[in-house]
Amino acid sequence: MRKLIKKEILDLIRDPRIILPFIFAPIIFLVLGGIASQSVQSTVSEIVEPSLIKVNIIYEEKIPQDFINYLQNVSEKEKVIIYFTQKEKDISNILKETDYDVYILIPKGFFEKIERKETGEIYTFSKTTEFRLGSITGIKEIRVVRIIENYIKEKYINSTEILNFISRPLNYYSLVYLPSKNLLVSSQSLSSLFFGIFIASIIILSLGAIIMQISSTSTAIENEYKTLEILLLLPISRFKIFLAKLIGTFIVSMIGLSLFLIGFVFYLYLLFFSVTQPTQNLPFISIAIDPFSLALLIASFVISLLFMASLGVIIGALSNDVRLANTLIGPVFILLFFPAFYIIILTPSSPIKDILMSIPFLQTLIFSKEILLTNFKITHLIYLINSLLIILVLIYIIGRIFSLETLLNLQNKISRRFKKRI
Amino acid sequence: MKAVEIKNLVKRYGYFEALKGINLNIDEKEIFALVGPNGAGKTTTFKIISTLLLPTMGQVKVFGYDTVNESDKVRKIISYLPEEVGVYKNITGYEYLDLIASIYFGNSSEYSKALELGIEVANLGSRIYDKMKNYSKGMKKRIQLARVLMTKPKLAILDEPTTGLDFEYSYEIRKIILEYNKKFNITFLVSSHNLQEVETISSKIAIIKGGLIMEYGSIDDLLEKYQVKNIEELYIKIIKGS
Repeated sequence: MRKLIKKEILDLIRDPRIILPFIFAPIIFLVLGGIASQSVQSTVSEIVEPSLIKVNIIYEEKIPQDFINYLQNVSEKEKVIIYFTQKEKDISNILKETDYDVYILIPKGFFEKIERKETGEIYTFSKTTEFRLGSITGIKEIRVVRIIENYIKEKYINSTEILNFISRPLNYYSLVYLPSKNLLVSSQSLSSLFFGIFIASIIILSLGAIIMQISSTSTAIENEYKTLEILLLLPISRFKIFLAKLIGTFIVSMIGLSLFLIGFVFYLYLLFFSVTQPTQNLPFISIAIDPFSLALLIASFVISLLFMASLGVIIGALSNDVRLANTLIGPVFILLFFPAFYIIILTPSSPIKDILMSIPFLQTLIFSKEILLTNFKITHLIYLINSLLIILVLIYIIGRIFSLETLLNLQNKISRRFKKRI
Repeated sequence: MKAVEIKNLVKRYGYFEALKGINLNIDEKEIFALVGPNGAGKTTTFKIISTLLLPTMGQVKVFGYDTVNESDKVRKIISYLPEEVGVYKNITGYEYLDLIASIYFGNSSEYSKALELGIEVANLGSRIYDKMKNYSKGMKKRIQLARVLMTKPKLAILDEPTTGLDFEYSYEIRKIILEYNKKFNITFLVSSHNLQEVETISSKIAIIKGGLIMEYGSIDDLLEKYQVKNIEELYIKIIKGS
């Protein structure tokens, strides 16, 4: 069987259709990460080190001199250059004809309201010609709004000390307690952790799809090139033939996936490098995960990939050619994608959770969420054994259908169904 | 012992009856030809003998082993060359033959002998180390023929082994069949649309049409029985007469 596995590996690894996407993955992720980080970094740097911005204050009635003086006094410190325009035409025409970073419209009656100590209303505008992160965050607008707010506050509070106190009377630290782990973590860290889980779930989904694609293509090619007949003629059990295919595909997928992961890590590094500059308290995930849970997660992950590879082999074996296999993969993956998406977004409750926890792949997604909040429980091991049993049953079924007689019958039925639909 | 014994073999694909109860005996060490028009049931018969398909009714024995209940034993002593057979495009001819030899013989001394024989039958020179996607149709057929013969099977089933090949390749394949039949006492069951080829290599023949054996026996006996000069005339007379 070792030679059969070697054949599978060589045949797959030398196939450019299989291996090229894996080689390109790190490069694509590098480029994507570069583009994304550039966009994010420009926004982040705006927060960390504000740039000089040109502001046009459009007014509908005469504005008080002390307001003009205040703005001129703080302009250097706040890195703003203020211009004033009386609103004589439609705002959209002003925006169209002039070029400022931020526009502030002060409507009629604004200063009267302030005098009456009522909350005033202003409108901010900015221009954008492209859809990118920096253009929709409103960071520059907020800077100008804060200046106007401070003008109003200073108007009524003479002492700078009191002004600072009123502006920020409290410093607060939000912590979340995880009872099962007896651990206190900052809510900011927890948010980052959940973001990490979300990313991990997306990785698991992607890896599952990739391994299913490889295994189905590799098996469907055997049907398309009529080499499966020869394999089935060899004096070796059909179960071993299937197992060799499964293991070979699994090994090649692992090699490919490691390249994919390298690319993905590059992508995340570039992305996080750009967003973590102003962010403190990065999570220490390792502290929150006990070794048993980690071992459980790894075992579940391996079972998941085997499950997806087995599904791929079934799809490939039931397809006359690669095209049909690719067509069949879509609906099968969607069947898994919907519960997977449900698990990623929400937390399923019993008994749905119990069912999902026994299904490989979906189980890994739940484990990856639970591992951070709960410690290893014996029920987790039971779920793992359940999923292992499902894999064994699946492998047994495939071993049974791995005869030309059965495959031909099933292939004909599937082909007829698809031809009818087309 | 008979190499192949077929008793009342029926094969249905859904409502279509591909074989309608055929009976056939093939002796050891002979080169037996199964001829007939397209769709007559030749490939179905071959696939049942080689354990790839199950009979709907009837029984097939290969050297005494039942193809359904003793398929593992049958697969050890037979080799089958399908008419349309592909190759693994990304592995070399050598790697392929090496795989086959190791599956049949493991690490025993027979393994290297089988590999040597395979390389000899393939006769591809240094091209044996090329990936098979670079092989011509004839080279692919030679590799497959090498795969069939390198294990010195007791029964080799060749479904139209020379179809689509040029004269030179066809001639070499016929030569190999005759040589290996004599040298290693391999029983051959061959199908071909080239009746002259059949006459050259076979001593016995069966003519199949519509899932039924129309006639079978030694070529000389049949020529005498139907009072015809050659196998082509015999074929036309039997097929048209039916």
